[in-house]
Amino acid sequence: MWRRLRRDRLAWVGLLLLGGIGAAALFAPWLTDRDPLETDFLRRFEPPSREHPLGTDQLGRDLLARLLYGARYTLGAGLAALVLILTVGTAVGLGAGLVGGRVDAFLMRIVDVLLAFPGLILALAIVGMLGPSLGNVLIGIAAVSWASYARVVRGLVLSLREREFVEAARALGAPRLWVARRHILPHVLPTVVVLASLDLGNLLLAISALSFLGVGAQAPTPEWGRMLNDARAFLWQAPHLMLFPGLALFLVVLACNFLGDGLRDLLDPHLRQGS
Amino acid sequence: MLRYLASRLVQLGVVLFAITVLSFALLHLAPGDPAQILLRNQGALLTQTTVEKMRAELGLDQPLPVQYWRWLRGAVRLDFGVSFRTGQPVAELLLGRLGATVELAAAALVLALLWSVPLGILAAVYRDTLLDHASRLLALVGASMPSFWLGLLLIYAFAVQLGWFPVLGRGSLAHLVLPAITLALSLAPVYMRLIRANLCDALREDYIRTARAKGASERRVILRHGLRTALIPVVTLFGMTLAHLLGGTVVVETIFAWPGIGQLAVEAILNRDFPVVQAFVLLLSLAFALANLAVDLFYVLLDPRIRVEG
Repeated sequence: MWRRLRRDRLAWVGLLLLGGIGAAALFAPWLTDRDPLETDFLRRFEPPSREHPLGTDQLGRDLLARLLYGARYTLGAGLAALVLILTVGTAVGLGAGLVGGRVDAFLMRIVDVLLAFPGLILALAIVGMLGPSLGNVLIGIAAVSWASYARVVRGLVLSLREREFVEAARALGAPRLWVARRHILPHVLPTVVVLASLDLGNLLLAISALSFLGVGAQAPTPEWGRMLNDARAFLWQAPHLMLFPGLALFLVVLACNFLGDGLRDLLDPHLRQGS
Repeated sequence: MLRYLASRLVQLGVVLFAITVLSFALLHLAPGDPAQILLRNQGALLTQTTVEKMRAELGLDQPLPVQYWRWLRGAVRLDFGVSFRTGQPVAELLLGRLGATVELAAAALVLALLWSVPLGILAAVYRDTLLDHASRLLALVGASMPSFWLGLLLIYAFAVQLGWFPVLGRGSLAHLVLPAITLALSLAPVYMRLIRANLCDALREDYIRTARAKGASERRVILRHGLRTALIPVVTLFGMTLAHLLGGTVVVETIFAWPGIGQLAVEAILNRDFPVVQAFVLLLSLAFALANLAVDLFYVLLDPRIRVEG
């Protein structure tokens, strides 16, 4: 398995890129000594220079510092959304698969409804009702995205339930929850985590799209989507303000997709040989 | 077939009902008193009496189920109340903006197909060659491109620097070019990969071997025998990407100040204009559900291998 991943050059490019950006986010204070929130009204809209490698924004804040610290918000929000979606999706899928019957039918109905509707718009509406903030964006996105995971987990649970080791555990009189935690969950998690990581790029795009629309991170948070929204008004006088945050977001998503594409091939060798 | 249609329609009704209950509940749990918002927007004085009077006028003093029932009764007659911001009827507002969104979505769809069908065919025919790998890379790059960034880049290059197209708004055909390209570029990678995958599968079928054995030219085999099967799923593909398309129009309309329903919805959300948000959610859910139903029915008609259970 690892040998094949090693051969996939694109996946490696993705992994390195993502690792690099993650490290940049973690070590932001060591990479720049500027404060991403410190304004300087005498030095607004400056093009890249020695002092400000990527220039300054409409309030004279250092763009590089904002990008580096902003990576924390962008990547952090993506990971937080991922954890939230996985938790809800796995819990619902386990519940539906293990309890079965009416509970299963009811939960899967909800899943059907959610899968049948345009996710970004539903998320936008939910955030609109809850009020604009990055936290609400996570809630909105998680509220519409858990459904597909719940369905996958339920499918896995249904097939695992019939396997001998689960039957054996039950025959020995193990309580239901114990069986779920010790025997079913460990088999479900790896698949779901890999599936979710394939989705990370799209998740990041959705979060920053909502921030771009103005319902996500609020000023002065240096979140990349928010920065692009702010940069829109200054397209004429300072195009570098939209160039760099956009490029950063594009590279992160590209890295996720390169990696995801490699992982997908690994998971499903048929796809590679076949179509 | 009729039974299938009937059961699908019942399902659709249930789903839409659930959506309206959910959005109604969410809106009324959300912080912010609409009466105060409306008064503030009108520039009126905020006092205990004016607020209470406005609440009574909007029906907000009634219990929630009564409010929902009133809203539902209006909604089936396409009366969604008035906008908190402008006082205009919501139905009028939405209908006035619908044309612009349909125009943009249709233009983008045509552009995306024009680009992705030939590339998808080429990638399938020259599978595992440099061309195929390049198209895979192109699709990944396209799928990773934030559409809002792409839109800003296009505006900067072609409107600000070169001055070829107007920057914002709607009017002449030139206004449509940049928004349509932005939206199309975000759709095309998905289409390209799906067409390639379908055609690759089709080309391995027995009847393709038969056609080749008969001595048909490669061109005829691909275009006439392979592509025909490969294009049937394009109908489903339309259904699958409709969500993407609708989401995309919201973003693209915002970038280009395109006066469609997406832009209206974003403004309404930012201003907590609840009646507009609620009607928007219902309208899009309805459009989406109907489109998916149409796609499913069309698919059943097109492909005799698919049987439906009533």
